[in-house]
Amino acid sequence: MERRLKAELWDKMHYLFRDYNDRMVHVELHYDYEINIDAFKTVLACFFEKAPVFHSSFTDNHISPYWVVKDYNIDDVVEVNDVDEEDLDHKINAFLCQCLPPEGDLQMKVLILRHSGKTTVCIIENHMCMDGGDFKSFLKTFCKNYNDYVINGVSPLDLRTGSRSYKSVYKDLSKTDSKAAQNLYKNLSVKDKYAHKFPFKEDSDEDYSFIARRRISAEKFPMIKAAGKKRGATINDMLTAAYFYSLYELADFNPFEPTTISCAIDLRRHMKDVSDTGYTNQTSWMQCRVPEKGRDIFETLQYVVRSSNMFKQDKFMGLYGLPLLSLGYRIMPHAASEEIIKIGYSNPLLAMSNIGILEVDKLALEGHEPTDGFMSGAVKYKPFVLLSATSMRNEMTLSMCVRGSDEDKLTVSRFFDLMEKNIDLLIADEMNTEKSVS
Amino acid sequence: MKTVLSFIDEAFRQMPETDRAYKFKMQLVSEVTERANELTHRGIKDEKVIEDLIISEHPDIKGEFENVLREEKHAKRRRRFVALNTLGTIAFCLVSLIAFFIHLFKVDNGLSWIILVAAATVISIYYTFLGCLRFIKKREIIFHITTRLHLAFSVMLVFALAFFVMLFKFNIIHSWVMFLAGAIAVLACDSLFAHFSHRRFAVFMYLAYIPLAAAVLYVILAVTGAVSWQAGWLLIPLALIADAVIIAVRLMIGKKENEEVEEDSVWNAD
Repeated sequence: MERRLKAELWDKMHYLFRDYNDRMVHVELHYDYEINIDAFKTVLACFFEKAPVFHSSFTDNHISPYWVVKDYNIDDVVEVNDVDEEDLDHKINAFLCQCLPPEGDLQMKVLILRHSGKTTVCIIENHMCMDGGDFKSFLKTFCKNYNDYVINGVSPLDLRTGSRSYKSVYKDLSKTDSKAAQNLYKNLSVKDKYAHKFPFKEDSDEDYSFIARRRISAEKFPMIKAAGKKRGATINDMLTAAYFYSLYELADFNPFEPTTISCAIDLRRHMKDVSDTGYTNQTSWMQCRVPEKGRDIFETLQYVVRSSNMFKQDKFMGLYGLPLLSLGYRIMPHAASEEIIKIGYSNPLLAMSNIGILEVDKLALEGHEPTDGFMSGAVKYKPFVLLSATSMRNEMTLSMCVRGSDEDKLTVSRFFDLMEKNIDLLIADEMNTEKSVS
Repeated sequence: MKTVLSFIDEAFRQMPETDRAYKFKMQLVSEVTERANELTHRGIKDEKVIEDLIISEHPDIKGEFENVLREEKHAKRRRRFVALNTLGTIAFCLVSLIAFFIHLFKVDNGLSWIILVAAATVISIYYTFLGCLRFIKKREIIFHITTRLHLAFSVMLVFALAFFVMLFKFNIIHSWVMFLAGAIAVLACDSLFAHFSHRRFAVFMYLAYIPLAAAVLYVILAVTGAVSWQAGWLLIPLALIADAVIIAVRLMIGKKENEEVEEDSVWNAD
């Protein structure tokens, strides 16, 4: 008899997003030694056994969708290749830009590339199974289990399991807060009458998926932090301000028109303890709005800080609209609720996800910390964009996964140039101080 | 598999030796062997890992056994309940039929059919009650809609029966108002169902139902001459006042809850 798993609210929502993105979350990690492939496969197989959603197929039942657990072989999940250094980037990009269909038997795939005594690990997973926040936690747990297994011979079974329901977000709230949060029926979709878009070209047959990245050097990270502190801004605010300003410059938006960027927020901020919950999605959006471009980037930063502070003051940040979505899925058959939700939900045209720090000590394998790496969100379909930011050893990686043409690739590259320029403007004082000290 | 088998043996040592326990143990051994083969097929080569994984999947064998026993008991009880209901319904139908025929041949006043209507009403009410008890716990709205429709149908059946009795037995002129009274009863039962199933938007139903019921009641009272047509309409504004009171009370409760939320700001800190 087939084993079925319940399709949770966020599984269905991310399935609905198939019109906007390819639903893949990507990660790339570089190690300066050859990892133990057998151990890697054993640990991953154990994790797959503990979290069967990763080897399940999504069934889009018109009444109520569900996952069907499928059989697999770990060799189908993990592909191992020996490559030359010059082929490395090509292999990585080809792997990361593929899309795993939710109807397929596997929702996660790994590519291990061995080159000149080093190893590069690339992983893609279906966003329907878990978000960036949980993926990071998954990776850290994976590395811990791998190390315990290889070094101490401990079986790799220490993976948290439990409910994948969106309702876990209410479990640590006080009774009154929980009741109030479950009555937040407000629809907080982006309502930007100007509908500012990233300046991509029209869709064409030549469009392909690519991941554009830009590194911000490690020296700048503490400067961004310090400059932000001076102005009451977080690193996220600094990046968002640079994002806004660069967009106004790149797309030539009317400087007196407001623009909105949706910033991903981790709803686990409302949870004290996630150890009894399964890997899932707990992400919502915060609409960061600037009323105009601002005379300079510092004024833009002020607008961003004001906007994000307004959201942070709200104790129910990110929880709006969840009861409405749940109600939508509950009262109607899935096929009908999808259509209704599509009418009420507007996918953000401009979005940002600060995935945060990839802690090298927690991602170390057998004492070898990753030398480089990044994580990014799904490949968005035009005109939608998502800027992902991760940092490792203070080196920040900005990435944008797009399905577009070569021209679009150039536009994204120009955008990153502007981002760098505007970040430099924001930290100009710190850079000057640094120079004068040295 | 040695470790897993000893783990199972150890777990069963703490349980009373019964035939059922032995059968369960054999079933478990067969399951874990199958699971071990499956894990090997999936690519886990390390036998220790396979054993540890299987053991981790059975943290409480005693509890598993107790669950199986509980489920078996539950299934047995359910089967007995279904059998009892089916037999009871058949017996009740038979008794009703016998009563119908006795009445038909002995009394023959043309009202024997009321016995059949009454029997159908009793069966409908009984099964609606069972349905309500079962579906009230389910969250899916489709169950609630089905039960509410069934509830409304049963209520109308009762009032239809009352109408027949009043009209054919007692020849009351205004017997037809029982259908209007039935409508009020349907609204009342629906409200009660909403209350006991903790429906989130029940208050909106009350707000809609109260004036509606008042309007129907006005017609009933006026038709039967209990109140005059001129004075009876006051029921409708009274119902609207009742609505206003409900709104005010709900707002007060909401305000109080909001105040509690404001005070209880443990998670307000970022």
